[in-house]
Amino acid sequence: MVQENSLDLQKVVLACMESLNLARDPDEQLTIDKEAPIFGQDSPLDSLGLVSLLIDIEDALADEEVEISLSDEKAMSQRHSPYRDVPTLVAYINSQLEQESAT
Amino acid sequence: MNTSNLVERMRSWPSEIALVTGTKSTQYDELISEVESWLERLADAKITAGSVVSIEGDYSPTTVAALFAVWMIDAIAVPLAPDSASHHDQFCETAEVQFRIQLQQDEILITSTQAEAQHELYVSLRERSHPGLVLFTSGTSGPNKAAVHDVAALLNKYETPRQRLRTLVFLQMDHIGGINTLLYTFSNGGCVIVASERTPRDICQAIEQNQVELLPTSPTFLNMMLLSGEFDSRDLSSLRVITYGTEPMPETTLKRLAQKLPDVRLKQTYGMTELGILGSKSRASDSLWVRVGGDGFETKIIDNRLWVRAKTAMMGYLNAPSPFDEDGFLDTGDRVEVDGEWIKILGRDGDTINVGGSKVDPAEVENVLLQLEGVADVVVKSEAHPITGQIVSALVQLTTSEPFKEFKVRARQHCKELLPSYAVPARFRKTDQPLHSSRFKRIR
Repeated sequence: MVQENSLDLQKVVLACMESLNLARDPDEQLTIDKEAPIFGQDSPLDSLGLVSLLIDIEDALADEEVEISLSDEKAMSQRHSPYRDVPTLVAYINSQLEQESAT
Repeated sequence: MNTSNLVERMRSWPSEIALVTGTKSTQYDELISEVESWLERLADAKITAGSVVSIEGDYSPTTVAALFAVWMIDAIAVPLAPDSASHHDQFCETAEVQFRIQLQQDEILITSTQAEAQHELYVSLRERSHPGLVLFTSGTSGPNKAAVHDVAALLNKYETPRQRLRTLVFLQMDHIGGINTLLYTFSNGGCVIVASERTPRDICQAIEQNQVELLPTSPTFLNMMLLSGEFDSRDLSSLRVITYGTEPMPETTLKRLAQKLPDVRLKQTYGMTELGILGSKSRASDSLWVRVGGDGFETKIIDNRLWVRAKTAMMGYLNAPSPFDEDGFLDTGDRVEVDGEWIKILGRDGDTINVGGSKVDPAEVENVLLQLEGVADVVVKSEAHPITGQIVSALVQLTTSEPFKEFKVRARQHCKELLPSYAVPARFRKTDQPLHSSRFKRIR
């Protein structure tokens, strides 16, 4: 619980986006910003890119001993997509972690 | 029905709109006069019955008319879409193309290649005096195979009049799905709508602006549309039917779609470059159980794999042995579950990975990864994923001590240079364990 709270989720998400950019063309770069869009009209990320990013974030969290799935059926069936932008994704990860620690 | 009968039928509704590309609408009579101009152009270029002719370009009245004109003179059409432009020279060589028709904006270029085109399948088409169609199979699993169809056999399916629908054409003209949309729509006086890009936004915009009734698409694309939120911000009330095929449909996507669009009928289709599009009936809109076959199709199931014999099946491949058994059945490679007359398609047997409908050969990806410095061994396999159905996952054994994150960036950059984007592994994992069996076969 203490470890989860001390984790800067926003930093993890942004670091994964930055690392993804290293293997993307100059004209498809993701904006690295705490409000940046991730998936949707304002982002150059396609579904394949989104999948890679979500897996990278899952792996980065696993390195911190946090096991979480970001693209399971629960995430897909949210009323509003949790993948819209950095704040919605961070909020979604947070809510997942809270549910985990509550059970 | 032959091509001339189809064109005659199209003449009977001259002022209906046949094709919408961007802001341009083309009536049936305008499309037919375009076909007539093409008949003159073909004659001027000495293109005659039995000639093998590529048609290279995006959907437009000119490209569509060129296809019909080539068929009307009993020549063999090889449609090639801009998506595969880097492969066009190679495709033309494989298909022994004798004349290349290249269309860009309003420019038409016709060149003769001096090729011979004596393949036995072409000889057989010429003996029958039937027009032909050559389509290339997709995927990275070996070289693209060139499937030769007898257009007379394909067209018979469209003889019975069916519903007249405003249909969005999702797949290109070099795909059996694109050809099926054109033929179905034109043989019933419907309207074909071309979206500017295949993005959820442009497709939804095209549906709204053109009151599209039928949307043929793939499960992955439907998933992307659900995620994009476009369903909520657009008026899609004109939609009556969505058909989906090319890969197994994830149950969650189907249920969510059925919930989101309760008035739209969701229908699974089953098609293959080699077989044409099979008639099918979904048990219910939110059901994955489907009945394939019926008129012109027969199925049999051996060891849970689906075999199909179809009147619309291709004659054979130009560059591979015939895949049909002695009774004319083709092993689709699809694993199925059976419940009486209903089947459920579980996915492809074998190792091929299906990423959103695109097929990836794991061996090819392994080969590319093994080129990297520090990679001792690698196993590439599929992993289920709710967004694209399956993803490419690579398990590597490294000899370097670099941080794994840095290796991942290096590996992705390298793969991106050599593989299509869908074949680049989404997941990389590291292992110290051997990756092969005692007989030195990779463990997948």
